[in-house]
Amino acid sequence: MLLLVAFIVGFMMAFSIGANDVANSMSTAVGSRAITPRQAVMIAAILEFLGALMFGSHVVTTITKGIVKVEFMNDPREVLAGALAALVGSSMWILIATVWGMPVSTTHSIVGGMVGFGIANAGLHAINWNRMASIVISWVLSPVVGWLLAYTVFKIISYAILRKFHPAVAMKRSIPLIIFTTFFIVCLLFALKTVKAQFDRALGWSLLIAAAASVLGSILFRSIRTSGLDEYEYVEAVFKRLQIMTSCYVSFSHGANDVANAIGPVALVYWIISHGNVAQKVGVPVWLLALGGLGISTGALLLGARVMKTVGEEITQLNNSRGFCIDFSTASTVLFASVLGLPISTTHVVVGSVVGVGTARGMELVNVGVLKNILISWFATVPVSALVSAGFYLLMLQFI
Amino acid sequence: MTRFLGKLFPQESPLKLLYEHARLVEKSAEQIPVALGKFLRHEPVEDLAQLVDKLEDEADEMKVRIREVYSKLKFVYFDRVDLLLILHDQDAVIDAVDDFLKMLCIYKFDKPLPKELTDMLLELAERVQDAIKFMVESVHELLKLVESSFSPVVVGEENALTQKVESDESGTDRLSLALAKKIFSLKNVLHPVDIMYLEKLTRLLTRAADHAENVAEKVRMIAKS
Repeated sequence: MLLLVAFIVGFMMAFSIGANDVANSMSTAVGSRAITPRQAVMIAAILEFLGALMFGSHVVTTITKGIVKVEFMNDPREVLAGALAALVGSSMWILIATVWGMPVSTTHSIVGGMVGFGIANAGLHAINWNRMASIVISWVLSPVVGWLLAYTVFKIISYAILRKFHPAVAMKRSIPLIIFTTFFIVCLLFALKTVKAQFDRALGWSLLIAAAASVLGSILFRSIRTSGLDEYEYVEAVFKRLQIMTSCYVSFSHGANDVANAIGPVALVYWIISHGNVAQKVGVPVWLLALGGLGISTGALLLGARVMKTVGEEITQLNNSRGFCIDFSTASTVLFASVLGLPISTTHVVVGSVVGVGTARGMELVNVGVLKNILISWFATVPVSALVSAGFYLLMLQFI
Repeated sequence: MTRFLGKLFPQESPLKLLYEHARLVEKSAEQIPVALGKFLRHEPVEDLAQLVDKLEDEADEMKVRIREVYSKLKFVYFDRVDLLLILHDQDAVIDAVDDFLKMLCIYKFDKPLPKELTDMLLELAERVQDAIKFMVESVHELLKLVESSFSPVVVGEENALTQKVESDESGTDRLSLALAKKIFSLKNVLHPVDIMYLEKLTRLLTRAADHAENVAEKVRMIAKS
């Protein structure tokens, strides 16, 4: 019964992530008209699920065992109350912040929720501060990495394609390399960190799959009609199609990182109920990741289209080469953080990547006030959601 | 999370708005030779003046929108002052065209002008229209420049275009000087008010060409930066 309650709450959280956060992570692809809101929803429904399933376990483990020290999580009653309090507390804070129009991260909220539960349960020493420090550093570093990566990727595209005498010819030559790089990163990280294959084996398989994808992709890209297009229009047309691939990449990475926000506390309850404690080295069950992935996919399918349409209408001044840089940098940063088990905010990485392309003289950005709002929300989220979660924890202990 | 990403981007690209503004200027400039021809044939030009007046109002609205967007922008492609100066010059062109059309509505010659003079006037009008066309092309190149991430190839194209505008403008200057000489040389033939009026028309046309050249020059400075 207790497990069922945790499952339902976790699924609802995953549903909410699918309905709202997926739209943010795919906003640049929808805004630059690379994909329609409906296509974005379909991509999200499949790729979020796969990302959660293939890479989700690393971040789930951090949320469950990394924040509150395991020796303070032995009483099933307290853990259940704590996990539910973390979920409900962070959801409440997200709801309040959304009403106020503050850009609050689900990831930051759930981490704050876990901290609140830990402190309310056993005081400050219950928190694994070293791990918390690495998480907080990752929150600062991830947008910076997105920024640097986007800046670099845009500069490379700029010098290798856009600034060439014949950009269309340069673009045609670059297609296989771009596809190869994307597939290689995903395959190598999956082989090394999830399958835990040996480096040589992982490298070999990744090279093989990436090469096959590259050849197949290049054949598909030949179908782009060039008649009536000037060279820059052709380049943008190619990037438009490449953005379909990076949209999948973003969706996949988002699923890998954000499934933990919903499933982390649920996994905690599951471990306590099935194993008696969380100290043992028990992996995250695949079906639990599938449940989270399914929740995100369902949320995206049922409510995501409307949200994505709104987002798409907000961002209309973004062309495809720039959108590609943002998507590629965001997805790579988020996926890399996922395999390191670091729960980061995909949306904040998107912002970092957008600023990266902007500083590389790639686009016009507006409203620096938005960046200030992110910073304020960033500082407020962890303490506030921790407080709300602690309050709920103490309240739930009276009923459970 | 709140959907705030859209707020990072401008709702309308100021550069595209600038180009649209330039297109309005071009549309108004297309009326110069037509209106002048009608005026010289003693036909009414009020409808054309009204059309240009309407275009000028539209351009003013666009100018406000560009300024609004630019007041909030960060990480722009180039110094926003440069773009606002271009806008100011484009605005000065359409103002000059509007004034020119209005001038055509307020006065009529009692007797026909010498053919040599009318030919020169019509040639000047066409040259001014050409200068404004080049100006629009130059602003369009600015869009391409940004899209190409400031490609040296596009910078080269922009340079060539600016040189064309400059040579065209010096031709316009020479023609307007010759026209002024011609007008004043007819001091014993024309009524003094006619002379004053023709001189005013010539000045308005050259003012429009001057500002159009300024736009192209500023675009070149941006491309080189």
